Amino acid sequence: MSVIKNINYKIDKFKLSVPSWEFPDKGLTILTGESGSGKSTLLDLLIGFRSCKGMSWELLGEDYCLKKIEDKNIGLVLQKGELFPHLTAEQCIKFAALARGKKNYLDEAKEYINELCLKSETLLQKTTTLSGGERQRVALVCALIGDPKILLLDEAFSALDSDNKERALSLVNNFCLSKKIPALLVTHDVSLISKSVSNFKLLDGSIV
Amino acid sequence: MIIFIVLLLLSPYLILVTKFPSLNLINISEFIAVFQFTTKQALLSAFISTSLGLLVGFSLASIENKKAYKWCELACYIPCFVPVIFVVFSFLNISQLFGFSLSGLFGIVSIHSLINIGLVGVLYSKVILNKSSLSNQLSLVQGISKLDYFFKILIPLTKKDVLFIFSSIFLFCFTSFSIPLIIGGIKSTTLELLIYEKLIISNSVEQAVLIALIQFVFLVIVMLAVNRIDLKNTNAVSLKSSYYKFKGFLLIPIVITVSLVLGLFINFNFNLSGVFDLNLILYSLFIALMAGYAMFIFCQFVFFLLPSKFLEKFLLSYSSPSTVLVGLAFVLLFKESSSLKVLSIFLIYIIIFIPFLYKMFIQSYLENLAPTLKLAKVMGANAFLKFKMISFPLSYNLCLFIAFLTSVWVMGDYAVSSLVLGADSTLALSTKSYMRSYKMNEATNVIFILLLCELVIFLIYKGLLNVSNKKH
Repeated sequence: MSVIKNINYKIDKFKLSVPSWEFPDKGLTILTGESGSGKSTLLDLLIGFRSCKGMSWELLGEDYCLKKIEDKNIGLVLQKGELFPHLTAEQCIKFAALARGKKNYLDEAKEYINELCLKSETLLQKTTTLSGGERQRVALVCALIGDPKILLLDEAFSALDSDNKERALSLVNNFCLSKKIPALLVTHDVSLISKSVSNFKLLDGSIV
Repeated sequence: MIIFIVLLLLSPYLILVTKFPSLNLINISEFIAVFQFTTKQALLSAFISTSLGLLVGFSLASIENKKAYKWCELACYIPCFVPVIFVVFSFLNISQLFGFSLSGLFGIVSIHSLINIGLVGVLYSKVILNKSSLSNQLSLVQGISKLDYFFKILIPLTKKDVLFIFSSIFLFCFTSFSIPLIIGGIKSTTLELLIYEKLIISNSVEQAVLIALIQFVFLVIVMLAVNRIDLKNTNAVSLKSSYYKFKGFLLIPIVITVSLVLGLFINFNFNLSGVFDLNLILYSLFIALMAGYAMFIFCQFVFFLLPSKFLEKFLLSYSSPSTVLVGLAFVLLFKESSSLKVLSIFLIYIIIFIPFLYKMFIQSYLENLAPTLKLAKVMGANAFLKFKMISFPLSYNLCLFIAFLTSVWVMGDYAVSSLVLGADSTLALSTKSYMRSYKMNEATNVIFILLLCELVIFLIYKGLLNVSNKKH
């Protein structure tokens, strides 16, 4: 299990308080919550964009809070499918692979691209010209290609239609099970709960 | 590697500290008189620039059309961004034409004000648009009178910003060197001129250092008392209805800019034979382009190291020492070697220009770049990969623009070059000599050549930009 402890984070009058939280260290975990419940803030704390004194995060026998962001080996997909605006989709995937020292990534990348039904013309376009759904799928390929130790997905399928959503979820699930890593999907879409191995809800800054 | 940048920017202070002289050397009465004059001219310049600049800011903020706003903004920026030599020369010509003398306190304060009114206008218009748009619209709905709005809402909301703008202009005018160098005189000596005189004319290095250090302490005290405002570039907000309807004050920067341009050619007579010196032209272009190249490399190095909270904070809070102080430090460091002294001029330009350029352009650009750099970090990219594929391509055009500005300014610089290079060794120094001896016809012709060189610089950088855009 992955264990997170002692989150006490305040922004103005909102407080995120998670004394202890365990979720499986293999497979997809879903965290739901209404808008403003603190989901993205929690993700920021896990990634390391924000810091919280006293917080600990045990994963794979290490305290991930002590690691630098770049050493955590996180596969990240954000809500808007944030990528690099001056690069094409293909170049973004190449960057993600090279960033993890992977030179022979093409076969693996092709596998993910085919599973997500991304067209070859789409890959040659600058990311700023892609639709929201295309960006999220490309961002997912970038997240997977780096052999992450954990996937953090912030509303990562919100812009996908039902077929593409199914394919993406299936890919994430198979990836997590084969690589034996956890994935944490933060969403307000409760219909996805059935696809997960465990699920939690964030309510008024606490996990229930 | 960050320490390298910090050491470079702090080097003038570090060099001068090693030369700390005895207090007995200073002529107290002379120092006090010069200090009083420096403070007086800086206060007057800041007051006039800020007062008129605020009026310009109101009118600028009232422009609803984005294109018109951009053109007016450009007119406001021109006197501030063109090399000082053009401003001084142009208004000296105009003053001669109208038969009044632009010298002493009046001359210095006038030129300072003409340069800064437009800049204050732009800064204040951005403060208004940033801070008061919502309260403006709320007040309109509530039916508050204009007087009440200005005195009870706008002024309390923006008084800290006005104070900061005033203080910044004061500091700029206090440490101004190039304008008093030409316009000032025996009874109109500023601290910068006094340092210059002690260093170059009296050859009294210890006195120059002592005066520079006292000035530095005074400046630090002033800077510590000043809060920072947000100098981010703001997209002009289009207000459907606004309290600021009067656009008449925009005439101020427009008249200044038009006068600046026309004043350059008052004495022009197409007789370039007496002043045309190819070696001088090529040497001036070489210095300007190399300074631009050095600035480009420095900016790219900064982008390589960013994001870094420490470096960003340092560059945001760093204020360069005055021109003379920086020049003095490197002249002292390399006094045994004239070739190293000449090469140090590129470092001097970086130290002098980077605080303004960072706050004006790089800081806001970095904030836009932050999410992209964060993503690269999460992906695990090392510094070299991040720079090669992300920072360098995204910052190239901005760094090229900054290098272009540097080259333009260096081409027209006679302040730093008068400290480091030989007399009349560049076009700007040559112009300065003609101006000081009131040979305005010759000065006009050299100015024309200088403008042509600026055009050459523009074409070179435009070409580089086109190559970069084609590649991407």
